[in-house]
Amino acid sequence: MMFRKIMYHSHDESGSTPPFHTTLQREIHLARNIQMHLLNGEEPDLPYGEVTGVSIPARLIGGDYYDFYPLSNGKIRIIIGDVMGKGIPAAMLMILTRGAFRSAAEATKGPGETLTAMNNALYKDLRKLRSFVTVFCADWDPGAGTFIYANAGHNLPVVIRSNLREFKLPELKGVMLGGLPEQVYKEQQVRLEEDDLVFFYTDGIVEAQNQEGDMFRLERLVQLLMRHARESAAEIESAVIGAIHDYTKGLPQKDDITMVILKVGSEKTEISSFNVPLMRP
Amino acid sequence: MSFETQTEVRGAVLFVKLIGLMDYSTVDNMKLEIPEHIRKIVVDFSRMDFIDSTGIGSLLSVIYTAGERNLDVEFEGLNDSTRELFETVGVFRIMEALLNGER
Repeated sequence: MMFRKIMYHSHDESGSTPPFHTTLQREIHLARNIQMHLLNGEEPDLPYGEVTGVSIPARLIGGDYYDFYPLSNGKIRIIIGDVMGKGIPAAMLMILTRGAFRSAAEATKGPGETLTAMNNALYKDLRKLRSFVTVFCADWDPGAGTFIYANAGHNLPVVIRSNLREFKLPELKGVMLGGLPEQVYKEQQVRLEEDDLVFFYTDGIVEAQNQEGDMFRLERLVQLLMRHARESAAEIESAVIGAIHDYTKGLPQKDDITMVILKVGSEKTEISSFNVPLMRP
Repeated sequence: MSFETQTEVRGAVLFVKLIGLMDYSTVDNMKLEIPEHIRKIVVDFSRMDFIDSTGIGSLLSVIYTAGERNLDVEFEGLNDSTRELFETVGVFRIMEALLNGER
């Protein structure tokens, strides 16, 4: 048997090898760029209403994930997820998750089937790595006003109706991706009305901590969303980020912060916030 | 904040007490050795302050190992928020599947 050894060396002009930490830093920044570009994908083009997303990693790169996949007839498939762990290992699995979603979204009819296909694709790898991913996936049909969703271990979005009251989505639980093989993910369906707000999020928001170690908490988030629900998606996003910043006094956080905001519009709604950057440094 | 585990063997039962903050920064401290004669593991959460996804990952490792060795696993001392978290992500469903011998 013959073994082939391949060694890669990087040299500067003087011929010396850069220090290990310099190389590592450079590679982490390159990885961050890749992640930002992949997260900052094509902006969805909704006929009515608006949707936007933002992910702020706690470290240079993160394990949170969100994505949009345009479907036929103006519908859109939305996903938000959180990979177990932090930093580079979580980011690597986030890329794996993204690939599984893109492939599954293409080939499946609804969010439940998408999660089932994703779990089938990811289970063996995640189990081997002793990791998992929680994701929430939904199909939004702006024309019919239907919101169909499936859940693999993630928290349900917060829904604020146009009358500024919170609407609890019907409970729907499913095992995280990578938890058990051959899972069938059920779907639920609700009808959304004009000016309703759907706020998808990862736990980094409600678990953001202030200097006393107290968490931001879901109740505070819901109250905040009620106060800003009549604003545009971009304004709501800014309000949430601002409120977390005020609460934490800019303290570095342990977990990534990710949100997707869906505002239900009418035919007259201007899609004005589509130029909002999808990922912040 | 720190994290530690206290273990005690009583007959064929391994009692594991989780103490403190079980998250990404501390979970490496969880090194659980399960003696050969153990038939059941009881995990006590009554002194655990917080658990994140990495902590859940460590618990799942224990559950998978227990499943492979046909051991029972029991949780006690769970507060409402941790119980709700485990319900949401599917920890109990995985336990049921393993204990029922589905996997």
